[in-house]
This record gives sequence, structure tokens and C-alpha cells, in this order.
Amino acid sequence: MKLIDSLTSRYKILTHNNRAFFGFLILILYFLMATIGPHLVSLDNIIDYAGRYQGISLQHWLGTDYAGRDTFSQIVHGSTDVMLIAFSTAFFATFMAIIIGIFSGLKGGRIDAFIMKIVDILLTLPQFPIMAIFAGIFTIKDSITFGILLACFSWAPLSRGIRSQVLSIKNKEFIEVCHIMNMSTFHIIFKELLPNMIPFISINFIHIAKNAIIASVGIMLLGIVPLSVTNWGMMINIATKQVGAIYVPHALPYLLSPIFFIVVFQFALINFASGVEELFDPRSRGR
Amino acid sequence: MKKLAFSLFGCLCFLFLLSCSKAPNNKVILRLDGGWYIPPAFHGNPYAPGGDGTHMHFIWNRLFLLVPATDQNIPRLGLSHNISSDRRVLTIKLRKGVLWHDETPFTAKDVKASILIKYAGGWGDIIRRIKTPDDYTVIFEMREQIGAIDEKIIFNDRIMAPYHIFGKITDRIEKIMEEDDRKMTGPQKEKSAAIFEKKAEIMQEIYSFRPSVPIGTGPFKFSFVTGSDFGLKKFKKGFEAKKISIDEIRILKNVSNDITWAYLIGGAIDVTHPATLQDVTEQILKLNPKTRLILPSDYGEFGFVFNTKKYPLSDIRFRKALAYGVKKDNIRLISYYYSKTVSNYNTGVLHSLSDRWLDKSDLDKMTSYDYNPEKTHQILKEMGFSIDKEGFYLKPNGLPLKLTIAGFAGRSDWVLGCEGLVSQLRKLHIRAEIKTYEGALFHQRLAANKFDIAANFGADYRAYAHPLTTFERYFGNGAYIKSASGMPDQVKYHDGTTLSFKKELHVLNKAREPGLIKKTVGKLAWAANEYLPFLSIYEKNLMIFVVDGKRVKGWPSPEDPIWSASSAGMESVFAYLISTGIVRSVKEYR
Repeated sequence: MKLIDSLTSRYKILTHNNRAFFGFLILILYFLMATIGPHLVSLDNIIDYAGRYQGISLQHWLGTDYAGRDTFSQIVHGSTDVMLIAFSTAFFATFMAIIIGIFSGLKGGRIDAFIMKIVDILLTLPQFPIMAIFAGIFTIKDSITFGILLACFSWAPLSRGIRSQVLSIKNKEFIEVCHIMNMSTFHIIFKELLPNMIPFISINFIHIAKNAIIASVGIMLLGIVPLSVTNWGMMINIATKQVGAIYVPHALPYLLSPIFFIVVFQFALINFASGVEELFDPRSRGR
Repeated sequence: MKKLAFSLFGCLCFLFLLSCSKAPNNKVILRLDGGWYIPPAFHGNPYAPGGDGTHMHFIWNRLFLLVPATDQNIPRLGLSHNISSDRRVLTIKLRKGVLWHDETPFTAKDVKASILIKYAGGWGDIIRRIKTPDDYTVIFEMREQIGAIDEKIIFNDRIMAPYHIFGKITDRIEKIMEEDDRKMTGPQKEKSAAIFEKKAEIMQEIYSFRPSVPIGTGPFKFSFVTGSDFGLKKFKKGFEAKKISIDEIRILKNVSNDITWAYLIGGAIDVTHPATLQDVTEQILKLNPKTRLILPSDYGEFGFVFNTKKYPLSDIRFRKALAYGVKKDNIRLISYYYSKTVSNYNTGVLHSLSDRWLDKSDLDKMTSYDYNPEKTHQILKEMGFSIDKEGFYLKPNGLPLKLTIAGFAGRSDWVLGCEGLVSQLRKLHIRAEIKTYEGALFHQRLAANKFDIAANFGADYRAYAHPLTTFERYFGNGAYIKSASGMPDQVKYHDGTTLSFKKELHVLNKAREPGLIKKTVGKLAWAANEYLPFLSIYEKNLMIFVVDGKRVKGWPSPEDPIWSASSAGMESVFAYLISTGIVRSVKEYR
């Protein structure tokens, strides 16, 4: 009952914030597109050269690509992979960053220095050659593993940020009070530190999710995972780099479609994040 | 005091603005795009990584420019050549009055030095010794009869090793050549491993040589290099300098085709050759009316290598089933619209030169893989393949049939070709996916047979217009397609006899009698077609965009056979057209 009350009140906070609610609705639509969409819209990959770069019509809602294939069906079928890759990367990277950042910030001293040294090394390591080595060793077959691989290269900057946040918060009065009252580390982390960092973490979560879509293109081009022409990042790469759609005026619907869907996705995430901030920070409500 | 400070400040501002204004420049600069190593990696040794790039075509000359369409050898540093009646001696007469860019006279010793480096690098075991009886004559004495394309390889080689720079090293190579000859003709006929080691050591020395500036005999000499631009200036003492009306060549950095398209649309370059899709090409030509498109053959066929070491591609029936089920032209349209359609045979003989090498009686013995998806399904069913609930094929053991098509990540036309094939395989109810690999990784995977099907070039005639280069590639020991496909050293011929590739390649290389040459080509073409290490999709045309009348003018018509020389490097043709005055500054036409 308590849980239902808590969820209801959080839902009210979310709906109270128009921006957040709007973002939430768009994310629901994206979720539906990724889950139900592929069952409703069939993907025909057969090449029809004469039908390439068709404009928007009832038959082709977003026109056709350079091989005469329907762009809308590619967007819908690509959304499953894109969502899975973006969210799994963001989830695993954020998870790793929170654990390492908080541990490092709370422990301090040599442990902190040692962990931050590793983070610095990871930040300066050139990712491309390392991924090329990965390409020779690993074969990745599903989007979640793909997300974990991307997360391995994405957690370091956020962990450094979280560690800095912990360092700035851990000496504040309310944390001191917790220590005096002999409250557990678990309480300090989950009830005091994390809620203060949620806005920062949620914005970074969005950035990591967005970057994962683009980074997945590089990994596909390295051959670690099969090249998917319906991946939105790959669609943009093919349109701009491989087929020169950027130079062909009637190819605009094909070129702009994946860009539009990525932009709206980010827009929804950012708006939703503002609601998340209000959930955890009462002071920001009604601002 | 205030006034003085104010006046000084005003003067400084004026001087600053003056320095920002562009000085009038009457120089004629031809612009193209290309690649080179960015400083500090760049150096002047063309034999080592760091010294090669697009600039090579303008800095160094060849002995002759080969024109495959007419089988003509246009004199460059070489003036004439002669092959002795026993085909064991090749004599080349050289052009007089040629200078290196440091103004040292060019002589026969420079040609000898260049070919000796080629020998140390692994080519030229056929050469017994190189003689230079005078400054303008080079004589190549051979151990055996000159092969089908041996002399053309020498003609086509760039002369890049001035004796006054590389002499100390090449003198040592000559000693190795002499030692090599003693061992070849002496009691132990087998080549000593020590010779290979000595050659490798010398090549290491050559690779580690890092002069700051390249020195050649070409029409243009090095001027400057940055990350974005490579500058070349006219060599005023060059042997054709009087005919050249272009003062400078500026090469703009090209990292991918889309950059080149931007250069073309923006009118930044005068000549280039990116693989371009139909719509982009039409847009470029529409926006730049002075731009013309020239489409000479690249003398190569794009297609797919089958890994014959991996099931089910190891079964010839499966490879044939795929050959029947692929509509080549559909792949051509999306991969390389401006290429040539090929026949339904997969002989390794270039389609456009097929009449020269194969006749009807040869083709009658071969399978014509006419598009017939029903036949594909029939063969697969006979092999025990079945269809699953999702409508895709299962292998006879009940596991899903899934093929991976490997593509080269940087080559958009290859990746699109892979996409075309995947689309057709799915239509045949075969699961397929693309994996692209960057640079060396792609070639490594092919060499290690870690692929199912890979995009690549099969027939590769280059400037020699002879099928030997392709059949060497398909069947030669350690050759690219043979290693990747895993073809055996010998196969059963249609009459039941054994066809030894080594033997047939040797015959093709040495035979002079036209009947024997055609018969051998017929045999090897039959093996390529019936054992299918490679499925040809289209014959590639080069896409040369020339801007005629903006800065330069006079580009030959698309029908001119000179363009066929582009298969050995288009920039060499550009350099030839500029240095012979065929392409000239627009100012000269006014």
C-alpha cells in the first residue's frame, strides 16, 4: 500500500511538470514502437532501384532510401536495437560509474588516487585501436552485450564527475549529522548522497544513451557486430558518408528521418530528466 | 604623446589589414584530391611507408606509360625497347637530357638501381643481370624466356631510385643478384634461404632511409606538405617543361568519397575519381556544367570470394546454387551504377576483353549461371536443406543456415555491394548479415579464412590487359584469392585429366604461340567457372570527373584510349596529359 502511495505521488509530481510528462509520453511512444512496432510494420529489404529516394506518400510515410526500401519500416525495426543499445549502455555505464565514483569519493586517500589514476588512463586511451583489437577477439550477437561493450568505454567520465560530487557533499553538515547519529553507509549513500546527485546522473545517463547510438556505428564499421542498415546511427552514416544523400535534394526525407527520431528521443529524455530532478529534489518543484 | 600612440596604433591596424589581403596570384594551380602521410610521418623515400601517396605520380616517371586499350607503350623515360629473338635479353634505350629534381643527370644507372630495389623487394627472379653499357642503354639479361607480362612490369615501374642517392645500397643488391645467379646456375639449384635474408635485410635498410624531400624526374617537384594540402611546383628543368602551362599542383586531402563529392560540388578541384552513386553524380554534373564524366574500364571485376574451406561453401553444389540465385545487375545498380554488366559466366577473364581470350567453343564447355532462383532451391533441397517456420533455410543437420558477408569498411561501393547480396540472399530464404572490417583487419580475416563470403576484386588485369595477373590471383601459390578461397593446387578437368594450376600458369606465362595461350586461358577459365572460388558481379569502370574550362582545359574525350592507362593509376595519366601539354591552363586558350 505504501509502495502504491509512493508511486502515485511520484506520478503526480511527474504529471504536474508538463515538460516531464510530455517527455514521458514520447518515451512511451518510442517504447511501443520498439516493442509492438516491428510486429505491425513489416520490413521489406528487397532492393527496388527504380523506386529509390521516393518522397513522403501514403504508401511510404517517410519516403524510400537509396535502394527503394521503405524508410519508415526501417526506422520502426531499427528502434528495438537502438533503444536496447542506448538504454543498456547508459544503464551499465551509469551503474559502473556510480559504484566506482561513490566508492572512490567516500574512501579518499590512496584508494581514491589509485582509482582516479585508472580512470585517467581510461579517459586518455584511444578507443578506436582498442575496439579494433576487440573486433579480432570477440563476436557480439545481442544488443545487451553490445551495450555492455559500449558501457566499458563510457563509464569513466561520469565516475569522475560522481566522485567530485561525493567529495563536495560528503563534508556537508547533514552528512556529518548522519555520521554522528551512527547511520549506516548504506543509508548515507542511498538516502543522502544519491538523491542529491540524481539530476547530475540523469543528465549524464541521457548523454551516454545518445552517444551510444552514434558510437554503435563505429563498432559496426569495425566488424565487432553485424552491420545493421536499420540502426538509426548507421542510417545517418550511410546517408551522409556512403551514398551521399546529403547532396541529393529529393533524398532529404530519407536523410532527415533518423536524425528527427534521434533528436526527438533526446528531447524526450531531457524533458523527462527535468521531471526526475523534481522527484528527488523538492526544492526544484514548481520552478 | 596621445596623438603619436593613436597614429602608431592606426598604422599597425592598417599594416595588419594589408597583410590579411590576398596578394595577386597569377599562377595556374591545378587542384585534385588524394592521400599522403601527414607530417611528421611524411618523408621523401617512396619505398617506405610515409613516402608514398598521390604525389608519386607527379614526382616520378615510368619508363613507358602502358595503354591497355591499344596495347601501346608510350615513351616516358624510356624511348624504345627491344627483345632478343630468344626472348632472353631486353634492351631499353633511355631519353637523354633528363634531370633529377636536384639537377643531377638521369642515366641508365638510375634505372638499374630502381629495378634492383624491385628485385630486393621480391620481384624479378627472372633477371640474371642488368647491364648499363652506356648512360642511355639498359640491358636486362634473363635466366629464362621473358614471360607474358615481364617486360611490361619493368616498363610500368616508376624509376624512383637515383643512383647518387641509393647507389651504395643498390651496389650491394647487385652483388646479391650475382650470388643468386651463381646459386641458380651452380650445382645447387635450389635458392638459398640466405639470399632471401640478405634481400630482407637490405629492404629494411631502404625502409629506414628517411630523406626529408622526394627527388624524382617527374614534371612537378615537391613544394610543401601539411595535413590538408600537398603542394607541387613545376620542375622548370624537366624534359617536357616547355610544354607545361600549369605552375603548381595542389593536392587536397581526401579521407572519404563524401569529402571528394563536396570538393566537386564546391568547384574546389579540377580532376578526381571517386566511386559515386547515380544521383550524386547527376547532381554534381547539374551543378557544375563544366564538369565531365569519363568512364574508362578499371580492368577489374568486383564480386564475392567464397570460402571453400567452410561448410556449406565447401560444397561446390552450394556455391553453384548461389551463383544461380544472384541477380548480378541488381547488385551492380546499388553498388556501382556506372560499371559494366558482366556475363553469367565466372571465368576470371575480364568481360570486356573476353573476345580476345575466349571463344564460343570454350564457353560451350562451361556452365552458364543464368539467373534461376528455382534452380537454387532445387539444388539446396537436393543437398538436404529445408525451410524452417520463419521461412529460412536450415542446414541438413537442422541448424539455421546463416552466411556472413565481409566488406571493407572504408569502401562504400563494396559495403553497398554486400548489402545488395544480403538482400538477394534473404530473397532466396537464406539468412545473411554484413560485417565490415577496417583496413588491414579485412585482409587478415581473408588470409586466415575467417569469413563465409567476402567482397573483393576477382579479375584484376591492371595495365597489362592479360589474364595471367587474374589467374595468378585465383590459382597462384599464396595468391590473394587462392588463399582466401582455399582453392586446391589442382582440380579435375572436364575430360577427367588433372589440371595443375602451377603447370598451367607457367605455360600461360611462357607460351608465345597464340593457340597454346588461348587453350591455356580456356582451361583456367573453365576451372574458375566450374569450381567458383569467385562470383563476378560487375566490371568496374573508373569514374573520372574532369572540370574542363575553369582553371585548365583540354581533357581528352571519353573515347580516347589514353584513359585506359588509368588502370595503373589515374594520376599518372593526369601527369602525362599535363606534361605533354594536352591539358593546359585556360589562360593559354584565351
